[in-house]
Amino acid sequence: MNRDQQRKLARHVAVVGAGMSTFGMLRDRNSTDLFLEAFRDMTESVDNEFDPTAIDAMYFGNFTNDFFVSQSHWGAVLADALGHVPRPATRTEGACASSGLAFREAVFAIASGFYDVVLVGGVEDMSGRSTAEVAEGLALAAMPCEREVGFTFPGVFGVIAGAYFEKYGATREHLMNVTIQNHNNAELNPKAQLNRSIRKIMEDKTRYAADRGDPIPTWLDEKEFLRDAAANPVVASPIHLFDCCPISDGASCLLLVAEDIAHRFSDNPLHVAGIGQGSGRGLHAADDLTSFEATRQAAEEAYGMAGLGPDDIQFAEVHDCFSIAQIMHIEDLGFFGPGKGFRAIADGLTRLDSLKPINTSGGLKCKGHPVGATGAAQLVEVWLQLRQEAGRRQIPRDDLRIGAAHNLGGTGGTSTFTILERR
Amino acid sequence: MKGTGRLVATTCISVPPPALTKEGYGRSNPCCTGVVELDESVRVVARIEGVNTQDPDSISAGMPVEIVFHDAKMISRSKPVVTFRLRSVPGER
Repeated sequence: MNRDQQRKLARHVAVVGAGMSTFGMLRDRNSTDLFLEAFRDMTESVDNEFDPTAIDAMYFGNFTNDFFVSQSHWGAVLADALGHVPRPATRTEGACASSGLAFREAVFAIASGFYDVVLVGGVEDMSGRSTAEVAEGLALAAMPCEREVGFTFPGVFGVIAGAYFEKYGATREHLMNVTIQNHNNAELNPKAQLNRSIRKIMEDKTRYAADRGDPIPTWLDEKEFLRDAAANPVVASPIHLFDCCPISDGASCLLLVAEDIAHRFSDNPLHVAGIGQGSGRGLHAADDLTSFEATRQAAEEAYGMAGLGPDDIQFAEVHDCFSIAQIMHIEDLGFFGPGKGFRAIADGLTRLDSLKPINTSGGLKCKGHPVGATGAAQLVEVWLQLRQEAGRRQIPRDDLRIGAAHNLGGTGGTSTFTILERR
Repeated sequence: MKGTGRLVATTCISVPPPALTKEGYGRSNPCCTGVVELDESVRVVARIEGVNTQDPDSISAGMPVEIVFHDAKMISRSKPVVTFRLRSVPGER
């Protein structure tokens, strides 16, 4: 066993509350409004009496509100909004993995023995910018050499998809399976941004065409709709519009405490069983374009700490910024072997009611991807599922005990993997 | 380094970043970018020229390329952009 598989926390940590704002293009709310919405939702999820003044410290993930809304320094801004000044507040930045990092730092802060009650969250406010500006802002997280030759994020994942197709014989049809599945799950999630199934989108478009007196589209099924270049235009081959997550505003929030005091807050706390983090180097340095080194490292560390393996994870949220990413991650996390992920999805193994449900929330693709809020929001979904509180999208099993969330930043530059367990 | 290599993987970007939109790239003129492996086994990310970006399936891994430097203003500095174009190899088409 190597040293990455042997790391343990000095003290155990539990999650006793979790909440999120609605995700969407929410121009009537700023970052502070969104965060307070998530905080209120979290507060309501704490089973027992919770006095917010008990919070010892705060860690907030935010990627680049500096660029999106010309405001940085979100630690202090949100601490003030919450009324927790002068308690310490720290902003973490790891591109789209920013709040995955916030969660991890909060766990360490408690495990060290220094704090007992820590608030974790994330926020991003993106939709006030044009699509071109958002793309430019997100590209700040690409590797410098990638930006210099003109890569966009869809472009990076276009290259990765091309490499995956070449290596394993997958096709665009397999990307469509991811899109269809995540839309189906999001339709059951009232907080999701794109909360219609592909079939519902087709029905709506058909009805609008009829209302306007336009020619009625005649798609036979979801895949024919997704093959229609007018309905689903190419962005960066082979990535099309419906392979991409949307531009989103939103916030997420969790309350972490030392495990020995967890029952003061919650009748049903979740144990932080494993946390891992890794870094990566970009496309030019990847020995294999179909796998992220950072994810493999994060997974190894988290599995080692938890004493668990991929087969023990009953369901997971993974960082599906693009459809191809979902396929890569379920392989890098060990749920399916290299080159087997696309077939597993095609065979229905990752559906809500199947062997290994993936992205029951709808994923980044459909729940939305306010980048700094995403990592913590994934853990909100794990919280809901493990506590049997996920409503219509609840995984239909009464033995749910272990779930996980995988967060990725940049073009694979940062990754976190977190395993939560109900005991 | 000889400046010759082969394509590893590419994409044709129809919605390019603003700096490339100014160069005339866009939906009607996608920009090809990708990963090239040089003959010396070093990989670089680069722009690819001389390929049919309207038909991405016509661009495939293993195609031989050679370096050209392309003057363009990217990000905030003006410096040559690493660019490759297709090259012909005797015995290959």
